Amino acid sequence: MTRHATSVCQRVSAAIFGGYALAAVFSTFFSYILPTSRAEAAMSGLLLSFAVYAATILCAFGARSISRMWTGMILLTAGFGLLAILLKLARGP
Amino acid sequence: MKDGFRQSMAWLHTWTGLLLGWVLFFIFLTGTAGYFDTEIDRWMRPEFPPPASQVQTVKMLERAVERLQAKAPNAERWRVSLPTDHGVVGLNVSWRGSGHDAAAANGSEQLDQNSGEPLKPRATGGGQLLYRMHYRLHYLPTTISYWLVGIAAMFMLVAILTGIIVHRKFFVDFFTFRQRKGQRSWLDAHNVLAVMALPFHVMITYSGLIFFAYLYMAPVIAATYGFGENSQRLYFDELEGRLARPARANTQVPLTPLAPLIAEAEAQWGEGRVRSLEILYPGDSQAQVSISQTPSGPLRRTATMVFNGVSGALIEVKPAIRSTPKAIRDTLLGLHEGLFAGPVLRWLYFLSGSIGTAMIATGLVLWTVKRREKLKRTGEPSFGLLLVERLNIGTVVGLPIAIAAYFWANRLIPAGVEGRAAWEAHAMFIAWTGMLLHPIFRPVQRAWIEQCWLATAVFGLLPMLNALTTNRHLAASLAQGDWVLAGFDLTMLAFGAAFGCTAWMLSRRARDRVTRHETLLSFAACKNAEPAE
Repeated sequence: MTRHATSVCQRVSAAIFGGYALAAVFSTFFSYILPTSRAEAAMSGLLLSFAVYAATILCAFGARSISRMWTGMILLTAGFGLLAILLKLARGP
Repeated sequence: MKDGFRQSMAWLHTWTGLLLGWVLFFIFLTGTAGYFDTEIDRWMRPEFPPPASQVQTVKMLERAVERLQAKAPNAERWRVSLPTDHGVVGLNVSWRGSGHDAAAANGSEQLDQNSGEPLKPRATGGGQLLYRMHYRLHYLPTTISYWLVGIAAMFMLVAILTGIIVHRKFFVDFFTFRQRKGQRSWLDAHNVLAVMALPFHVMITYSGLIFFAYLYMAPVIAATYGFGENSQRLYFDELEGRLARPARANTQVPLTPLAPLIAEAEAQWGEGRVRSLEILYPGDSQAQVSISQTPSGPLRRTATMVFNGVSGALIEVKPAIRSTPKAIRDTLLGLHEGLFAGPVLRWLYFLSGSIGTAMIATGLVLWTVKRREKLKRTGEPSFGLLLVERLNIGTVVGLPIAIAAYFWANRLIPAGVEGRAAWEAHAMFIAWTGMLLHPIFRPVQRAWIEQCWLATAVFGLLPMLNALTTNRHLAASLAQGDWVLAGFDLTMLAFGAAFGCTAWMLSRRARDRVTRHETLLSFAACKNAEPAE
């Protein structure tokens, strides 16, 4: 594969799968920090999720360096994921 | 990736737009037609009488309930929808779960508003099927269709955002149209169409994703409620504020008279503002009657009054707005569906949808024109270019022809044929397949022209077919002031005229090109001949 093709493949997979993961994780985190009822909070997360997804896709293709793009995406997803898990644990079952 | 942020956004715009462009074209075209779903329904059921002038709500409801009593006395729930929507004929009654076999016990009927007798039109999918195709597709399983449409909508969202970034000079370029300049003209057309209805494009795409967000973003709900169907139901029950449903008592008690309940609702909301009525456990001592308000704005959910079905006492009033996030969602969905829109706004919806459809079409064509122009220098077209050119013809002109074929099938398939409604849809997809195959055997220019002429014929002759096969022809509906049917026929004539103009322009341009080519050839021949003298 040429360098261009490898770069496109990486960005496409980062956009589709990485973007989905970040969107889902961030929206979950967002729904956990809202003070509303849990149904409203989940609804708010859903409303926001596609904006996060779209923004991540743009970043995946817009970023200068592929390695920095991967690092950023993984760190953000892991960070919000961790926060969400902590919030869930703190709140109890 | 090539250097530069805008370049990579341009790359992304090109490929997200192209890859599912034909699916998006299908979604936009059938969805746009869906803004007139009930009007199309009426045209496809010409046996229906014209909508009756205002019959009293109470009278209609009483007739509907009489019919339900006769048809499904043991049902779990009855539902009556009043013809408050534009162009709706008759009362719609439906019932669920009568008897033990719940699946077989559901049904629905349309009743005459005056007599309460069931209407027996020809079997047809009508405008509803066409409208449903834009999110449910056809032939494919439901969940797969929802996912495909969702992925296409996400591509659309990315294409819109990248398009905005790439385009940048919105207001300057909006007044730029360079005519007859090949690639430039297509680009200008694409830009103007995109910018003209930009708020509509953003709204329709984002709200489209929100419709099935519970499916696409299921993990977000699962993070709070856990996985599985029951947890999703719990989420929706909490969101909608549904109370725990009472159990059936299985003691026979007559239903409370409905007239006082309707009067109470109309006193609250105004006369004729009742949209539908639902009765849970009719004839049981635990019966409940819910009455819903007609929407007067984009907010999709409206107020509902719940009454005790035996005593007629008011149990609760569910407000239209329960919480902010839900109200945002209901407004987005309401804006998407446009059910609240009156005639003017409805035409504006239709126009915006058409602009979106045309934007997709110009984008698809632009992709090929750009590559054709490059080829002038380098030679042989690639397989990809040939494929896209052919898919474009078979979809941009072929799909409208297929929809016309759906209408033709509605008039031509005899009433008694087994599976009649299904065959109408088959006719549409057979026609589309034909239109996709036709350009393979023809030169590109010729294929565009031929399909445009065919579209001219199938749309232009549709009112004639209508006149030959029914007594509700254009002159009759104009004379009766039946604007729904007249509007359908006139719109078809307008489409025919538009395709005719396009065909004529394309063939004139093709002829010009041939003449110019011939002039050049003879000029070259003269030049070659000269030295021989």
